[in-house]
Amino acid sequence: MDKIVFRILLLVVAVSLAGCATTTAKKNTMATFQWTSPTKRIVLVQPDIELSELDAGGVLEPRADWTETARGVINKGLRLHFTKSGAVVVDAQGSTAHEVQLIKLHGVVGQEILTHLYAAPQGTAAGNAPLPNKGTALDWTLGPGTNEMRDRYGADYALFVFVRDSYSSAARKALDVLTVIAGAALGVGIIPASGLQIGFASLVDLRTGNVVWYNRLLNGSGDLRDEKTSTGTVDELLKDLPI
Amino acid sequence: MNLVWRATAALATALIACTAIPVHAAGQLDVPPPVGYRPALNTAEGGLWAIMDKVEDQIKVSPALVTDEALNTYVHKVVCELAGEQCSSLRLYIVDDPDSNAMTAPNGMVIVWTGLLLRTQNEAELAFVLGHEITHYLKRHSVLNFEHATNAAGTVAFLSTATLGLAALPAALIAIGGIASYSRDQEREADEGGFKLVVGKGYDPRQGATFMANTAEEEDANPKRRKPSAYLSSHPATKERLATLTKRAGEIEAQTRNNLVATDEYRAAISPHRAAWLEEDFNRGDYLQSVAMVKQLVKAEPGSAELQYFLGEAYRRRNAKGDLESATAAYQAAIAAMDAPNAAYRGLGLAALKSGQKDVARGAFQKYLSLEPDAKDRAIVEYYLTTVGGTP
Amino acid sequence: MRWNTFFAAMLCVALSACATYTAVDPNKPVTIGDGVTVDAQVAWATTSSYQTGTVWTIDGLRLNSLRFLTGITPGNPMMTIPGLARKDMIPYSESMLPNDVMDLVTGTLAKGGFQQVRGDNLKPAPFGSVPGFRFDVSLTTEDGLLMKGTSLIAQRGGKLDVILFLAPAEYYYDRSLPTVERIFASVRVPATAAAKAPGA
Repeated sequence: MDKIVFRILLLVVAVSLAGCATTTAKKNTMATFQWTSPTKRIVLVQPDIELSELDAGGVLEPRADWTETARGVINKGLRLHFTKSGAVVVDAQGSTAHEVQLIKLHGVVGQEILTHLYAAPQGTAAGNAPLPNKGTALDWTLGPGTNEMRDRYGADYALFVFVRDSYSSAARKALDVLTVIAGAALGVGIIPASGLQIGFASLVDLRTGNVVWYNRLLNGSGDLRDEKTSTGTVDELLKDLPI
Repeated sequence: MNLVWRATAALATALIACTAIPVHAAGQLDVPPPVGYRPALNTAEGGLWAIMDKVEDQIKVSPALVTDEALNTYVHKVVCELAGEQCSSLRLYIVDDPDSNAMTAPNGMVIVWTGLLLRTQNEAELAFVLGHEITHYLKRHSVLNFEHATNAAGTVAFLSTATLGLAALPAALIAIGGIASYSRDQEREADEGGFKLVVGKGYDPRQGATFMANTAEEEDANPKRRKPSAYLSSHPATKERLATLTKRAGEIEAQTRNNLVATDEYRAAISPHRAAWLEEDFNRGDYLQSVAMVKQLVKAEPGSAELQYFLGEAYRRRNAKGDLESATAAYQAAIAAMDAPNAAYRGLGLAALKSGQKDVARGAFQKYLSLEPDAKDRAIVEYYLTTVGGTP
Repeated sequence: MRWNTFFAAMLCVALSACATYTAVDPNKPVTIGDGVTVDAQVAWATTSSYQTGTVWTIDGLRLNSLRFLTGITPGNPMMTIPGLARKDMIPYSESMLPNDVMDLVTGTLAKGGFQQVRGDNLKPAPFGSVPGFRFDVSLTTEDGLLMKGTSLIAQRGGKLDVILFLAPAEYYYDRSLPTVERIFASVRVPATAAAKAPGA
């Protein structure tokens, strides 16, 4: 296996996911969802979205056109949500090296939350692979370095969105393939036969850097390639967002 | 095989097969992309550009991006001269990474790895490599591949640009540009095109062959290495390329008096960075290649104290049979030359310490500390001194 | 380190293939291996699922990791890395000076997929009752996140011990560094294990 970490062997899984279309939002129990200023400003970090097509051989092919459609849908849905709630959306510019590092740090934090609050250890029923020192609490932070963003944008919160979505090609659906599962440590990813949609939305309080709200989306009901059916996906993603 | 290219090639096939998306009007791929050209998003090429644009956004904010103005100005000058009227379509990014590589993307992004700048020894060599890559761009090879490729569904390994969203450099660059998916004919075409470009600008046409020979020699230093040189991997056999280039250079030599090598200008641009790039190369832990590469640099510049010092470091860290003696000789050569880096004494001390020569070690470490009273590594050198009965 | 971070998370979430984590008790000495004992100071979690040695974390392995690699024998690499063959790794040798051990660690991290790996601030430091060395590292992940680290090493009884702490430079490294320093200071080794004087 060469140094390119992104080299992924994709194998197909015939397992159907139990409990699909679940979203379970988590809140940091210490957080109070309040605004510093009467103008409620929220920074929207550019959503990290990728839609792919799963072909007959189990190969995941990124689709730029699908991704653009999904990006449009999600951006529109996010802004509509905040229009309704009365918050002003500001787009993050990523203009300083520090801000870029904060955004990259969030990429890691978001995945650790996914792993430790939503994932299940091997061989167990649905549950999670918790860190014993955290349990089921949403207790993660980017650190107070986020004050720089608070000052630059005049915003109290930042919202991050991450979506990976794959859809089977027609050829793929015709096959019925058995599973081989390999360990994550080998850089092997498994995509279910029907494709996999996974995403999260994460709300960071820029005054403290704490992740105060987090929601995972798994195999939602909408097709993000299609504007008409996909607005539901955004609603699921932002379900129970307290601001 | 370049994974992003394969992914996008597969994408193109799917798009073309399923949706009859417009590709190109006939004949448009015969000429370089006009300045200001941009494909529509719903074309196969548009999708490819979208991916490259995303990569470019990542590069712009990567900690690995080299922003040094003088270096960028110099390399950009060479790019521009070779690209001619296409210069304004190209955007140069120099990336701090020890791999030896350069690439162009169809959206006009030109990426040069510092590992390449470490290895090219003069402007003519750099121009040959850049001319080769610019030819790929001018001939639109990657776009052509993209549109003609078939989806090899049997092979499952590929790069998902999904991770490019999370990934910055340099790993993404290695993945994209490291192993180009150009066909052998396209590589030959790029060699010929690169050759013509450098000749047209008055560069010595033999320098390209020298660079390739050096690259091959460094490769051969560790035949068991798991990752081949990014630059050579999909290219036609090096021997064939060398033979072709040498023949072509011989043909040209009779007709012209091209002799531009610009070694001094090149060295002036590179020298402020070379020590850092050499350290970075050694930090990869591939000492067989590092020794071979530094030996080539020393051969071209035997009077350089800095290079002798780094040759000593390469031998010392490789530590194969006989290497400590070679390291010692190199450190001593550095010390004897003008402008010896003070660290050469430290290196001498380390080699002597490992060889059990306590007196030599003591003298060398003491000399080092006296020359560099503010040495950042004073603490460890003082420790070594105590083990050989010395005091700082 | 080398695993594809995104797919590891996806795998974990989608298909219940995650590592399990158990608590490390901060209230009593923890036996690591090869006679090394430390005090955890705060509540860490540990997992044995990733690569060799013992690894601790507080917020997740990519946010902080404290890895204990003890009793590395000559001829062997510092650790195993999935996807890398032994011949691609740098083996430990008894004749290594502390500088060489620092190069071994940074070289191993580079082979593991980190970028721009650098080591500095090498200096003597106690490894319990035997002489050891400290150094710091800086590196970048493949995703472009800047990371920092610090290490305590000892060449003890012909073998090598490495304790390595890594965390993002943004917030996480500085936050846990005082705790890591206390853990380093708490290292205890059996009295009979004689340290090998480097270079001797």
